[in-house]
Order: sequence, then C-alpha cells, then structure tokens
Amino acid sequence: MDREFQYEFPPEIEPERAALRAVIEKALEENTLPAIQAAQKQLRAWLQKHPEDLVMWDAGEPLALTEDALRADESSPAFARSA
Amino acid sequence: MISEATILRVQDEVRQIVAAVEEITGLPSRWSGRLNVVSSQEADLQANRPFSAKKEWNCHISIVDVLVNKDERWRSLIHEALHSVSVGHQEQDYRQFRGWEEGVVEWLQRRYRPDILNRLGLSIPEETFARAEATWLFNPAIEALQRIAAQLPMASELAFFETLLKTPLKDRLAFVQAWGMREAQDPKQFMRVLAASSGVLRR
Repeated sequence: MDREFQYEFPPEIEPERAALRAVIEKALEENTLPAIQAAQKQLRAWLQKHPEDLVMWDAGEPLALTEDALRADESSPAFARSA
Repeated sequence: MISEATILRVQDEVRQIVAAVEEITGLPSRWSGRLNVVSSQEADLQANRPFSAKKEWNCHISIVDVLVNKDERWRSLIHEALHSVSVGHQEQDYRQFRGWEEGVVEWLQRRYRPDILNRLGLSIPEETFARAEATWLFNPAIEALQRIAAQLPMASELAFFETLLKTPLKDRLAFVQAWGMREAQDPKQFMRVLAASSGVLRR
C-alpha cells in the first residue's frame, strides 16, 4: 500500500492509459449516467492493475461527484415531470 | 487495513487545513468534521467508486488509503478543504459548472499550499506535487479561467479566483460576464474569450 506513486508509464501501456483518459473526458462531456458509470468501470479496472497511478485516482473525483449529481437529478420531482 | 490511529491523524490534518483555509479565505467550511478512509483493495474497489479524495455531498471528506501516508495527500486535502468553503458548491449545480468549481478550487490550492504547509510547520518540496499536477484532468479549465482573468487587468489573478470562490457556483458565469462587460478594457474581446472558454468550463 505504501509503494511510490508513478507518473510516467512504459510506452507499451501508455496508449491504454491515454485511451482511458479520453474515455473519462468524453464521459464528463457527455454528462450522462451510463457514460459516467462506464468510465468508472474502466477506471476501476485500470487502478486494480496500476494502484500507483495517482493522476488516475484524481480523475475519479469528478466522475463520482457527477454521478451523485446525475442520480440526484433523476430522483428529483422536476426530472420525474420531464421524463 | 488502515488503523484507527491513522484515520485520526489524517482527520486532525484536515482539521488544521480547514482552519487555515477558513482564515485565509474568510469563508466558513461546511466540513462535517468526519474523515473516511476508503480501501483500495480489489474487492473494495469493485464495490466503491474510485477517487483519490472527495468532499462528499454530506460534507464528510473521504480519501483513498494509498494516499494517507504520502506527502501528495496534502494537495488533495487542501483541494477538498477548498470545496468545503466554496460558495454554492451543490450537486445540482456541479454537473453544469464543473470547470468553474474544479478550476477555481485547484488554482487556489496551488496558490495557497505553500502558505498552508508553512502554517502547519511542514516543508515539502514543490516537485512532490508538480508531477501530479502537470497532467491533472482539469488543467484546461484552469487555463481557460486564466485567459478570462487576463481580460480583467484591474484585478489580480488571485483576486479573480478568490472572487469566484465567494460567488455561488451557479452564478459564476453570469457574474464574470457582467464583470467583464463592466470593466474589461475591450469588452468585445472579453466576450470572445469567455465564449471560447465556456465549453471547457462546463466539462
């Protein structure tokens, strides 16, 4: 648990990391629950393999906050009226 | 497994940071006083949403266990403490104005951090934080806000970001628009910069 964080990754896995970042950015842009949850699933899988990737741990914060906000919207009376 | 002593230690660190942030900003914190440490172990990660640290909407602060013994935690804890004083940081507004919140809070985190660490009697090399911040997800939002601030030369960049922190999140865009129309040297150029930045700030 106390291993050092890593900020640079070997060239053979950097494309996978860049692709995950693109998925996260697209999910935030799309701003929908399915997109956010799909990004979280991929992020979870990445962090299981790379728990030393602090930048990706950081990327989880806006996803989680946005998921909460979208869930709150879904359960609000205004959403129920417009759905 | 994180010990109770570690949780209490980090909780006390948050308490000191929150006190410093309240004093510097003059804003009251909504932090509940509770710190959660979230497990990164595989089984727990499957059940939980991954994040480094987070100010929960119930105003607890959560942090992942891999961060609690690392110097990098200080930037995360200061960032979350700033969310806890940020005016109008509410979940219904966050998803529409994410960049206006994350960009403002993170710029101030970087600006206040040396002072806060000094107040806590800590000396941590800036390089410790710089590597994580170099590719931070919301750097484009910070850069967009800085481009807007540059159109308002009568206010320092620090004053610009502090003013936004004290403006309700949902009103920040309209507030800045009115500010620019009133005080920008070139209001048309200001509006062009604001329009070009608004997409990034809503992400």
